[in-house]
Amino acid sequence: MMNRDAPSATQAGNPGSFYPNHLFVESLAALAVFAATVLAAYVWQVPLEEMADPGDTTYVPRPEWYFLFYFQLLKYFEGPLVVVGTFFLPLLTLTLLILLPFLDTSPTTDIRKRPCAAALSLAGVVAVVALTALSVVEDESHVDKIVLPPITEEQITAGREIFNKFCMLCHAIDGKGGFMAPDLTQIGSRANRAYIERVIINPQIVSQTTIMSVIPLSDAERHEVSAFLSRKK
Amino acid sequence: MIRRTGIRMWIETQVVMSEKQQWCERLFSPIPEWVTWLYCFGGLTLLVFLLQVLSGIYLAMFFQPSPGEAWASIEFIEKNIFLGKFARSLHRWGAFLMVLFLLAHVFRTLLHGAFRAPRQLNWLSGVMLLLLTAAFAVTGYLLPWDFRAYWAVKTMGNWIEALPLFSGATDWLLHGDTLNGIVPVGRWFVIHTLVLPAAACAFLTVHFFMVRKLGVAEPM
Repeated sequence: MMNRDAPSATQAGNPGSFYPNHLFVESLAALAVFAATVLAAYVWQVPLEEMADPGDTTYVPRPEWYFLFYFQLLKYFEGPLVVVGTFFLPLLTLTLLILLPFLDTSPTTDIRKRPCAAALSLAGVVAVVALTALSVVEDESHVDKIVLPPITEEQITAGREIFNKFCMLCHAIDGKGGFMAPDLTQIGSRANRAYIERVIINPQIVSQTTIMSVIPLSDAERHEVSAFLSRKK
Repeated sequence: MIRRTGIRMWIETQVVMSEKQQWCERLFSPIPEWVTWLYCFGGLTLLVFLLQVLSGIYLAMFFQPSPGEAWASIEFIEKNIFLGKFARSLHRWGAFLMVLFLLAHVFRTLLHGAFRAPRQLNWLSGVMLLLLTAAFAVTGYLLPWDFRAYWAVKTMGNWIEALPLFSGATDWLLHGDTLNGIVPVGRWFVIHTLVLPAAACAFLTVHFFMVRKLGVAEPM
C-alpha cells in the first residue's frame, strides 16, 4: 500500500520493507481475525428469534450493541424534541465529520498541538462509549428492580388459576382463551419474568396505545402469574 | 498473434507503470518505522467485509425475500442447508467485527489527524463507507423478519415520523406503497445485496486509490 512519493523508511531510518516485515504483521492479524470469527461463529451460533407478529406487543425491542448509544440518546428527547434526536443531531454529526478536514487545518499532526480537534474527537468517542454503557446498565437495572421469589410448583398452579380468571378473556394459551390480545403460549421464550411483572404493573410500557388495563392483583398474585407465564416456553 | 500483441500493447498503455519491476519495487519498498499494528484496522475491516460478501452470497442462494417466506427460509437454511446455521452466525459475527474494526480505524484516523490535507478525499470516502456500513447493518437487521426486525422497522418509522413531512413513514416502511399490505422485505434485500455493495465497492476503490496515491499518514 505504500507509495514511492510517501515519506520513505530510509528517511526515517527504518530498514524494514513492506515484504516481509509489514506483510507479516498484516497477515498475522488477518489470520487471527479470520480464525476468531470462524471460531465465534461455530461456538456461539446466533439463535433465530420468532417470526414477527405485529399483534404481539410483549416483545422488548433492543438494538445491536453498535446502535445502543443512539438508542440511549433518543431516550432524552421526548415530544416535540424527538426531531432533534432523530434528525438534527445526526445531521450535525455528519456535517462535522464531512467538514473535519477543512476545520482542522493545523500544519502539525501532533495531537497535543491540536487541542480543539483532539477534544472534539475524544468527546465523541467518550460520548458513544458512555451512552452504550448507560444503556446496558439501565436495561439491567430495570430487570433487577423487581425482586422475585423463586418459582415453586404451587405458584405455577395458582398462577394458572389467576390467569384463567383475569387474563383469559383476551389472551389465549395453548389454543384456549380470547383472541383480542396476543397469544401467550410461548411468552416465556420471548420475555423474562421481570418483564412480565412490569407489564402486569403497567401495560403501557409495551405500547402507549394498548387497551390492556391494570389488573388489580396483590404482589403475591402477580408473582404467581409471572411464574406461570415465564414457564410457558 | 497480431491481435494478441495488440491487446498486450493496449494493456501496457493502460497500466502506466512498468509491471514486474514496479510491483517488486513496491513489494520490497521500505516502510516508515511508525507503521505499526495500529495501521492494520483498515485492512482488517476489508477482510471482514470480504467474509461478509462470501457468507452473504451463500445465504442469499437460499433466502426468500418475500413477506411470508423470509423467516421460514432462514429457518430452512439453519435446519436443512449444509453449514447454514454456521454461515448465518458467521455473517452476524462478521457484522459485529466489521463495525468494531471500522470504529477502531476511524478512531486511529482521528487521533493521528489523518483526515487533514491532502487526504480530504480519502476521509470523505471513508465517511461514506461508515454511513454505508450503518446502512448495511440496518437493512441486514430487517431481513429475517423476526420480532426484532419488525420492532426495528416500527421504531425507525416512529423516529422518522417525528419529522414534519414524514407522517405515515411507519406505514410505508412496514407495508410499502402497495395496497395489499405487502411487507417490503424484498426491497430491503435488494438494497442490502445489490445497492449497498455496489456503492461500497465504488467508495472502497476511491479509498484505496487515495491510500495508494498519498501513502499512510504520519503519526501524531
